[in-house]
Amino acid sequence: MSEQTPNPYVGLPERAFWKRAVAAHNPLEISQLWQPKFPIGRRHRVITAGSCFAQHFSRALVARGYRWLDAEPAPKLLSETQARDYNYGIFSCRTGNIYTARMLRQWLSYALEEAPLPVEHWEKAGRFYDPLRPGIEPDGFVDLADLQGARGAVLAALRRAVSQADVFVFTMGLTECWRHRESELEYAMCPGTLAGEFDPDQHEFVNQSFVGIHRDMRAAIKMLRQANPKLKVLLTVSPVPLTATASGQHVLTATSHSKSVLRAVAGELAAELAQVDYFPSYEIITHPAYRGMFYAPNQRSVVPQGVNHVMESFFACQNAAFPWLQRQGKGARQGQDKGAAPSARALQCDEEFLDAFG
Amino acid sequence: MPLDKPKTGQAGTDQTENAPQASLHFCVFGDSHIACIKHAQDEGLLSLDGVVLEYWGAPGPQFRDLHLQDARLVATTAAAQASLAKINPARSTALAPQDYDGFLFIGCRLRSSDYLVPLLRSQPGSPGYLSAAVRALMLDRWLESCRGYRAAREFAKARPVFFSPAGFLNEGTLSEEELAETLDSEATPEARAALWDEIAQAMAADGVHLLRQPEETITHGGLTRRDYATSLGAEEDDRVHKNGTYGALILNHALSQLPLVPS
Repeated sequence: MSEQTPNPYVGLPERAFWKRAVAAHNPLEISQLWQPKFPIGRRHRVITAGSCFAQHFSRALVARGYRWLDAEPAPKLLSETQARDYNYGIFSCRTGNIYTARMLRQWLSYALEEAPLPVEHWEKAGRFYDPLRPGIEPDGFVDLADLQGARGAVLAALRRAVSQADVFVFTMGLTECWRHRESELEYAMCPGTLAGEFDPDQHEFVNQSFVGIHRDMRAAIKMLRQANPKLKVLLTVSPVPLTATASGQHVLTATSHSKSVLRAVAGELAAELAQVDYFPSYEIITHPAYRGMFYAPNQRSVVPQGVNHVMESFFACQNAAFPWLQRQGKGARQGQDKGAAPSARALQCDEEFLDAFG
Repeated sequence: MPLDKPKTGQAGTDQTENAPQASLHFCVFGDSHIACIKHAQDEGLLSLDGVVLEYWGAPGPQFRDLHLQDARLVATTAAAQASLAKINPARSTALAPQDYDGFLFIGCRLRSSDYLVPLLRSQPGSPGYLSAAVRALMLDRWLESCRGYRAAREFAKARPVFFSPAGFLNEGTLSEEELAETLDSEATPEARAALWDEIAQAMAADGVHLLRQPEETITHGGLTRRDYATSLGAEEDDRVHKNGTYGALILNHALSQLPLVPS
């Protein structure tokens, strides 16, 4: 007979025990929160989408020399501020915030499955707004053709991004949304807020359930994997509370409900699907173990130190699981100067000038 | 400055031989791109009857040393002044709009490739479509961020000013990969004309007259035909400079639009 351990907890790593993994540590020294399923190195092309917290991922990746894929880059002639104002470089494509699972599913169905595009548009002060991303241009579009042309561009970018990426990072943000009662089109924002007109006969509030979100996420992941079978998906949940709720609950309890459902779906998907993982940025910011230290005084905005700690944890966990990533980092910087070097160009200018005026 | 009201220059230094009856003093200003006009002149390709043609400018890094001060262009370094002394000894330190009857600004770091080429890839229906608002921002910034253009705008308050942006990159100087990444080789003359119209309108608001790159010099949607590229050095080395034939097209077109006033 072989010897049996006294119970299954004996021999488990330190991280399995609250006393040693959490209580004994300064919160900033809590480690091994994540055991990643797959490596994300500087050679991997990463795309990002989701709620506003997702943009921190792209910034952190770019800052560390990772290959964040900007599939719809800003024209070079725009200043950095102009590019930001027009939502270039925020996510991999100019979708704007994708707060819900249904919105992700909608975007992917338009881009990858040629689902019929919504004909609805919003107008305000003679300008045209896309209900899928009403805030994408500060003053809307000049006409419907302009709106549709720009929408065609973002869908092309989305196809390109999905087909070229190795990892898709999606930050789940909300369960609450507004939809058209008949077409079931889900809006990025409630009609009548930034543009459009709210009509209770046409527009309905939906607080998505675990089952519905799980179904939409499975459908979205299926589309992603059909377009790119090698694509890995990394889910996170935004720790940013709701600005407002239409659920009838207190906004604090509505936030708790919403985030709990999203967190549960993310965990479930990571448990079900080998190519899907969950990174606990949500816990790092929100958990009582961190004593709320990463929130601004309004208890909603995440301070830069919090974002930094999240991303440091991300890279630390990656490096711990895949030590070779650190070695690979050296010399993996991209970027080649195409064409003549500046000094060579200056030389050409001088030659041309001397030849003419000698 | 309206084209139908040219004024006689004050004291242009005659550098052009065989122009004793000249009554119009005209200046070509720019960076190394002014060389194509000089090549055209040296090759006898210009229609200069009644015109005294002079040059002002500096190549490459020295062009950055030419600054707009009190509505004049001033050479702020010895190197730039030395360059100017070679091409316009009478005005090696400064250029004022009143020095000539009209001006052609050529090149001046305003590159057609920077504005037109990306926009030619963003036509309606294309995957790179850019909204009207973004296109307007690009045009505004393309012009505003160019010091040479700002100088042209200032000079245009006093004299007729033509502006010829640096032509498209030369055929045969880009790799296949670069071509595929940057160029819409199917871009039509109509598409280019629409963009030139927008530029012309923006420049006209500043009193500046756009000189478009002539269609016969364009190939592959947004490149300059090799027939119009500089012949100096190895062909594939110089992406930007043009030859005398190109220069002649530009200057002759400018002069044809500028009524000559007999003295």
